[in-house]
Amino acid sequence: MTLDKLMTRFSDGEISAFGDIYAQTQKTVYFIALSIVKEKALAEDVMQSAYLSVIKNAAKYRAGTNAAAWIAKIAKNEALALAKKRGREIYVDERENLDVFGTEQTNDFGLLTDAAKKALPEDEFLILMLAAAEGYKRREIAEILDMPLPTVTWKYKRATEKMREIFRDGFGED
Amino acid sequence: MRSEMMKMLKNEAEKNTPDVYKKVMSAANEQYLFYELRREYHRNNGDKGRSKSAKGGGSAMVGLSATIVALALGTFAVFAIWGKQITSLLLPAATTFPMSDTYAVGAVSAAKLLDESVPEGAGSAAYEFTLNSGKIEENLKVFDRYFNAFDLFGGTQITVLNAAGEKGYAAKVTVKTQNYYNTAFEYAMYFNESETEENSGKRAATGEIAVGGRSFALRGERRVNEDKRDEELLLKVFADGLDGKTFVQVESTPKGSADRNSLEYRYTLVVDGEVAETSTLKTGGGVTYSFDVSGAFGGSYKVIRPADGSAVTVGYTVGGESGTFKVQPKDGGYDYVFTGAATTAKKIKFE
Repeated sequence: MTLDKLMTRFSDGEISAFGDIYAQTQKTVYFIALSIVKEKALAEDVMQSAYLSVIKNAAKYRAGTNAAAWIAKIAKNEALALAKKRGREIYVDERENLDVFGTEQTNDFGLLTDAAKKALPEDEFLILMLAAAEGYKRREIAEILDMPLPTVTWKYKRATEKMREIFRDGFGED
Repeated sequence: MRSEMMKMLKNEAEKNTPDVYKKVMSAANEQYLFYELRREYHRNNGDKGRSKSAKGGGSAMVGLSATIVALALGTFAVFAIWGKQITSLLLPAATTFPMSDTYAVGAVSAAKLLDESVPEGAGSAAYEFTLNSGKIEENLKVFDRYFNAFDLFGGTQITVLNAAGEKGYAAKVTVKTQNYYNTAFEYAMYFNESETEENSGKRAATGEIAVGGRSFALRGERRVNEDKRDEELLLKVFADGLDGKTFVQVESTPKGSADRNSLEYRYTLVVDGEVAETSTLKTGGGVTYSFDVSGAFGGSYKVIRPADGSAVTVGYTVGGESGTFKVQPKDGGYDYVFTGAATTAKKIKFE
């Protein structure tokens, strides 16, 4: 069932639909959160607050719209709010934010993911992970992230090129 | 190589993405978010029953019961209502108009509320008028009455049996249920019912119902629409004989079809001809219901029995104060245990 239909059912009070909504969006929400708050534990906090916000605001969801984008926006807002609360400055432009994942060194994301996290700016990492983890097409990612399709295509291309090199070189080793 | 890389990223994401589902569900339940969502939906949509379950063609208990009885005797049907299983069992020689589960459960809950509120032999004098100080501890006596009256909603299964009458009545309905901690109870109702106008769908019943070792007279009306679903019901259970002055009136307007997640009963407690309290009970998903009591003893309560069998949790709002407490069975009654921000717990036990 499509995410839109699930959200519509959920907004109609069909609570059991929430499990499927969660399953279909869990990784999207996680990687959006991670790309903004940088740390896994914080991303987990964002996931919780984002899904609670989804439940609280479900009645406002408009059937026939892009449910993934709606949930992604909530996740992004929750992540930004948490980052702001923690006094972190969030750089949207990756050129100003080369050390995108700060000083956190713990490799608890998986070897290749960790390498991607270190090598890519946050939006390239996010686009790559949405494509890899959720199987989203670039057009869908553009809608979810509210980004022009050419930008997504360009960033995706750049991310995969960088990652191909890293992958070829045995990824992850500094 | 790219597909291999993407596959590896996907596998790592599968493995390492945190799972917060249980935490979210737990927090959402604690904050009554699902309850609010349903309430919001019904506020926006009235009684249209737009939900998927309503559209899904689920059988209405009442209509199905009536159809079953017309077609065959001894038929057995199971319905999922407000997260419980409700079983309608139609025994041989059932009445022409089997009592609907909604009606039967409404009658039992009204009789139990009357039994709790107006003790036998004491008349209205036993009804305790306590001023509401806005403190939950002092309103717990009110809560306790309703909690015990509504304990039939606390179990996992309600069985309604329509059968041939006894005691001079044409029909008998037995409601078998359990309380919050799975102690089984059984209530019997005897009644005569007839159409008030031919083909109007309006039916009127008189009878009696046995609850708590007492027998209460009852008078009820229901209107059944063309597809034989109960459209509305109103019944009174009397403490002082048929058409007496002390009674509990219960009304219900089912939302239609199988959408019983939002089943609502409205109760009015009348003592010596004066309205003492009004309350509304709404059933929710899972073993959950909420009720509001208005009048001098006002308060809102939401009762949740966790699926894992742990203690019943009650969320309350009384006099602007909100919080939760746990219900624990003790000596045939219940302890209400508060565990708030303070580390100590206080127990209030009713004699």
